[in-house]
This record gives sequence, C-alpha cells and structure tokens, in this order.
Amino acid sequence: METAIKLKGINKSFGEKEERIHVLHDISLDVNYGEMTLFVGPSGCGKTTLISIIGAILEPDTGEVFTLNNPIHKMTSDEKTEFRKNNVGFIFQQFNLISTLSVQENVAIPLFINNAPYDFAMQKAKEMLEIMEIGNKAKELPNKLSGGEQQRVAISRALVKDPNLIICDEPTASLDGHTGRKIVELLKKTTTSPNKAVIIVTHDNRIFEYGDKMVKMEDGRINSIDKIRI
Amino acid sequence: MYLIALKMLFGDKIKLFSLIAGLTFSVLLIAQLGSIFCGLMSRFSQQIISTEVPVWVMDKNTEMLDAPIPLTNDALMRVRNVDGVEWAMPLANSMTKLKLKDGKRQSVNIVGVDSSTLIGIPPHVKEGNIKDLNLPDAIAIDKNNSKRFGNPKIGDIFEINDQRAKVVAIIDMPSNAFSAPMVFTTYDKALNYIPPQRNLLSYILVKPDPNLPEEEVLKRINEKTGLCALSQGDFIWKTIMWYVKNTGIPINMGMTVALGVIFGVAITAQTFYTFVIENIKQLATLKALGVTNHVLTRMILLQSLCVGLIGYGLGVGWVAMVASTVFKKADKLAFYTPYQLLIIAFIIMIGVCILSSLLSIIKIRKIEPATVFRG
Repeated sequence: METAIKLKGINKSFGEKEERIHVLHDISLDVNYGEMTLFVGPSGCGKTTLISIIGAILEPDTGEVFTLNNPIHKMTSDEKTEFRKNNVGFIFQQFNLISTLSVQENVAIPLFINNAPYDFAMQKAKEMLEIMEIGNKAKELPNKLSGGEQQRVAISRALVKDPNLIICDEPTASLDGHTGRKIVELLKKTTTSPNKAVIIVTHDNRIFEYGDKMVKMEDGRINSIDKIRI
Repeated sequence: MYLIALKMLFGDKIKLFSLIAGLTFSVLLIAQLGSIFCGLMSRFSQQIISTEVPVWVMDKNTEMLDAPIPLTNDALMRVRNVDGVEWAMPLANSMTKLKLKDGKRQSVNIVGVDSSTLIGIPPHVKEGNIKDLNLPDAIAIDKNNSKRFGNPKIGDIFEINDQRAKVVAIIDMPSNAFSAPMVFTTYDKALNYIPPQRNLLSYILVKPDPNLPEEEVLKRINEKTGLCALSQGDFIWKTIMWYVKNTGIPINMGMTVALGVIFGVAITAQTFYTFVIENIKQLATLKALGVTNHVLTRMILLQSLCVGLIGYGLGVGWVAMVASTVFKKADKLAFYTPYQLLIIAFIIMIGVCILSSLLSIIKIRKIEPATVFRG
C-alpha cells in the first residue's frame, strides 16, 4: 500500500522558558492510503496536536511531515492554506458550523473557498446532504439540528469537495451509540477508495471495530501501532 | 466568500443590531454636536451671512462684525471711485436702546442701509413690505427676536432714542449668537436713532465688477482707500476667529464636540472589534478550511464598510430628522449642518471602521487555525 502520511521525528512544544511543555516527542509514523487510522490515548497525550500537524494547521518544532506526498514542513503559511483547501477535509469535535449560515451554505463553504459558482456549490451541497440523509434540513440553521444531525452536516462539509485526507477529532463524542456508529460507517465508506485516507482521534471504544489501524499514544509518544482485526 | 461574509454579518440579528446601533450613535454624536458647533459659529457672523453681500469694507483695525470702527463719510465715495467696484452702499451698525410698550428698555442693534436699494437687509421678509422702510419713522425687526420686543405686529409704535419708530416689516433671519435684536431702517433714519457721534458709517457693502476677479477688486480697494476690504467668507472667518481667540465659548464647545467624536470613534472601534472577536472561532474554522488571510481580510473589510455605511446612513438620517423637527421649531437653537460636516463624519466613520477592522485583522492573521480543534 502506498503511504499517505509520513512523519519523521516530530517534536512539538508549547509555551516559553520554564512554562514550556513538550507535547510531542520524536513521533515517526506511516499512514497508508485506503486506511482508517484511529488515534487513541488519554486526554493531553498529544493526539490533537499530532493531527493538527498532519492537517497542516500547526507547525512542528522539528521533524518532517509528508502528507499526501507533500512536504508540509517546508511549506509557507499560504502554501499550507492552499494545501488544506485542495486536499483536506476536517471534522471537528464541536462541529464548528457557522451559526448564521444555513446547513446547505455551511456544507458549500469548501466549494466557495475554491471559487465554485454559488448555484453549483449549493447544488453539490444539497446532494451531499441527501447522501447523509438530512437533505430535508438543508435550509435550517445549524442550531435547529440535533447533535447527530450537526455532525452529519460537518461530515458533509468535509466530504463535499471529495478530499483525499479526512481528519476527524472525536467525531462521535457528543453522539449516541447508534448515531456514532452510523457516522463512522459513512466515513469508512470513503476510505474504500485507494487514494484516500481517514484519521480519527477518539476515546470512543464503540467505533474501534471500524478502524484499520490503531495508534496508541501516551505522554506525547506513540506506545504502539496495531492493525485492527475483527 | 464575500456573500458568505455578508450572510455572517446579517445572520446574527442581535450582534448586527448592537453594531449598527453603536455606529449610528457615533455618527449621531459627530454630526449632531458638529452641527450645533457649526450653528453656533455661524451665528457669530449671522448678519454677514444674511445680508448676502460679497464684499465688506471696513476700517483696518476692525476686528469683528459687532465692533466696527466708524469710517469717515468720504470713505464711501473713495470706495465708489475704485475701478472694479460695481456699487458700494453704506451700512450703519450701532447699539442703542428701544423703549418697549410697557416702558422697559431693550438693547437693540440698529442697522441702517441705503434707502434706495435697501442693500444690507436680509432678503426673507416674513410680514409687511420692506419697501415701506422709506416711510417716515419706519423700522423692520427680526422675527426670531420679536418676543424681546413684546411680539409686535405691523404698525406697532416704539421709541428709539426718543424718536418714533413704526414697525413696517418683520424679517426672518436666524438669531445672532449673543448680540442684541436687530432693528433695520434706512441709513438716514439710523443717524437719528443712533446716539450722536462723529462718524456713524460702520461698513461699506460692495459688489465687485463681475468681469474682474474678486481678489483683484479687494486688492484695489485696500491699496486705493487705505481701508480693509474682505470677502464675505473672510469676514465670517475673521469674526468667528475673534470669538475663538477672545472668548472661551468656541473652545469649550469644540472640546465637547471633540469629546463626542472621540467617544464615537471609541464606540465604533470597540463594537466592531468585539464583533470580530466574538466570531473568531468561525473565522478560525474558515482559515482551517483553506481561506487565506487575504480573503479573510477582505471579508472583514467588507463587513466593516457595510455596517459603517448603514450606521452612517441611519446616523445622518437621525440628525436630519432632529434638524427638521426639534431645531426647526426652536428658532433660538443653533443648528447648521454644512455638507463638509457630513463628509467629515463619513471620512471619520469609514476611517474608524477600517482602523477597527485592521485591529481585528491583525488578530485574525495571528490566529492559528489549530485553535479550531480546541474545545
């Protein structure tokens, strides 16, 4: 399998002088295309920092990051923005939907960012919402939706531009078991494509069975990388 | 993305309302206090404005309208003899007492003008016929001070300096700031009303030859007569500046206006900055999704200019409404909104919007998009 993400000796700290906290210690890792990789571990172990670096929204102090064969560690800020725009779909724990835009407009944002015409973007967004079975909520504002529905909107937004890398932070944290599994199943479907990869940070052991690989982290280090066999 | 920016702005009605309310209030403060200031300033020189004469000739040492240094009688002829003077008319301007019907005395400012042309009298006659000023003992009074005369009607009789004075016209002109009510009459009658003194000619009102530049005519008058000829605008400013230099009123009023402007600017900057800060999470999300700093900058500027224009329109509309209701009915209140003030308010508003946007933009450019992963 071809490597989608390659990390070499990643270190990351926050703060200054005495207050400096070393969050990631010499992380090296490969993630393959066609895989759904789960990052697990206790809170504060560096999972979110690591996926932020993979997703080109945070810079490592040292080390090399190759995401989708792009040397992220060498990119300028604008190049990283461009990279995210074209290649990465994010799903946030808090959904981060824009409260003043309709569900459909929220989903269409990645297409607007890519300068898609308004009508085209809205049509594509509607189609994606239909796939997620919430097409009937397209005109609603996000705060009128349940947590599960909002997460499906967030997933629709992440998938609408058909990115090669999807990064999810606790996507099922605020969902009941049934909805959580359904959402992970949707994500799993996207990884069937050989040129895509999904990374999920989670504490939710109900969804472990859907992963292909599990990266266990503790104190900013990778403890183990296991293939998941059901 | 600009449509998204506007939808983000207009989508949150409460934030939008508070933002626009803040901006409207700022414009209101700037435009209203500015209008009161301009109104007050214009009243210092209201007679100059109302008479609508292009050039005023006076003694070189005359410092302001209400303190003329009398000219000798031959001054009028000397001015008329200057090349480029189309006409020159005398104006007497002097204080005296008017005896009211109840026997009380009222200080008045007697203004005597040329009897054949009546140049020097404000053109807006409210009641009566201004041409009747040529009748014996005829005077015209200004409407806005008629209360101080006991609300006289046409035909009412007063005494000025023991001379009979009959009201034949009532003139509509804005009140002077502090000076006594105006009483208009012809120059020859004014000489009877004004207490005897060696010279009574206060000013010479001049119309320059329209074929010559006004500056050239002013220069010729100055050189050939030894007097001081000023354009209407310059005399207005000279009078205003005298008040600025010699009384605390304009400075005090100006400080109030400046305070209003500073307060308005602070409200605007604070309100818009708060608006952006409250949306920081959403803006960080957009940044994480791939919106560049340049696009975010333009989005914020668009939002800022949009609310700025709405706030400006509402603020100016409010001022116009106040001006056309409260101040119009209350003649004694000074309120004047020159278009320059509206331009200044517009520039301040847009400048403040851009400035507060820039503060917000600096903040946004520094945000790490990774903050979206923090709860």
